[in-house]
Amino acid sequence: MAGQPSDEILVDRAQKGDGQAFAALYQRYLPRLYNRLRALIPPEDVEDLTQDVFLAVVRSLDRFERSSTFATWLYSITNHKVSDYYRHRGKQPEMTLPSARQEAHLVSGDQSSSAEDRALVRQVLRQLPERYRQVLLLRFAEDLSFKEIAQVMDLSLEATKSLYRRAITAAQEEIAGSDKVTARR
Amino acid sequence: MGKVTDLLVEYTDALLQGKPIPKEVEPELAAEFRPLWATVEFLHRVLRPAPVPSELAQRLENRLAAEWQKRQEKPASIPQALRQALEQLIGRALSDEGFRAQLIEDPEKAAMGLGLTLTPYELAALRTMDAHKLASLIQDLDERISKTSLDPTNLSGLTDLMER
Repeated sequence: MAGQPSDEILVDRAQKGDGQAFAALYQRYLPRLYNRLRALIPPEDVEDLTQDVFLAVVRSLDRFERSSTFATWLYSITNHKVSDYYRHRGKQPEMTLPSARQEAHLVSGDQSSSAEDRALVRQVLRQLPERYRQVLLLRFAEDLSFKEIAQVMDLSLEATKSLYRRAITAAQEEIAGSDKVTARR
Repeated sequence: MGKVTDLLVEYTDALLQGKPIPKEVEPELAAEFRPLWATVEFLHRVLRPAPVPSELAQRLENRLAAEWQKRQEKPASIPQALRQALEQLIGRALSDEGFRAQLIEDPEKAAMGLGLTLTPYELAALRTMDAHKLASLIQDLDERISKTSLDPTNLSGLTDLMER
């Protein structure tokens, strides 16, 4: 990031109509958003939802008043879009094992071996409290350091590490719980 | 509790960065906290970030460029403070020929003459107004007001008319 304009500067320029500033924001956040959505929704819908989020950013950029950081605002839009996505899908469990197997056919090569695992992780993430989900996504899907996560979440480094440990414990319990459910089927 | 948190963080960092597991973590891997390490390994394996496929990035960029173009073509709404100032300025210009000429000649001076306190941004916006466009706007508004029941002494809502 050294030598590159901050998000605040880019947002300011984009709000004044600078397309290159918006393109820079898009380039900066596309990989993070893409990997976040890969973790949260089935692969066949990742592109559409990534597009929906960025379109929402373009359309509401003028209303972004900077009471939060751009990243927090983007994650908030993303959370709304993901919630809408699952609301429109209906309330049935997102991934039972048979549908996970169906998903395995949608992806190719050695990725197919982990399709069921990805379905399980999506299910687990959806069960976790928002802050737990956030810290896990920032560390694993977006590859942010704990220091960077602390900045994004506006926490001290120690509080971030403690939150991470609680999130891992909660995820482990959810995974163990889902194993029992699977075993009973 | 703090020790386990620190070890968990160290273990996660080593795993994600592809570095050797720190020596102090190793004895803990087989201990009662083994399910936590296993969860970290599982999440790392499943959530590992992937590069954005270039075709997907290109499709998205094209779609966003089109949306950005639409956004640029949409007229920007007039900020509230500038809206009120314009209503006062144009209201006066509609009833005062001399002021109208002054407004077209030097909008900033006209605003100051009316005692309006404008921010640098609002003054800059006034300065960038094209004199011919401003003149034709006032002429157009004059004609439209004469055809409607809009009270020229109470021009709140006038700029809504301008934005249509």
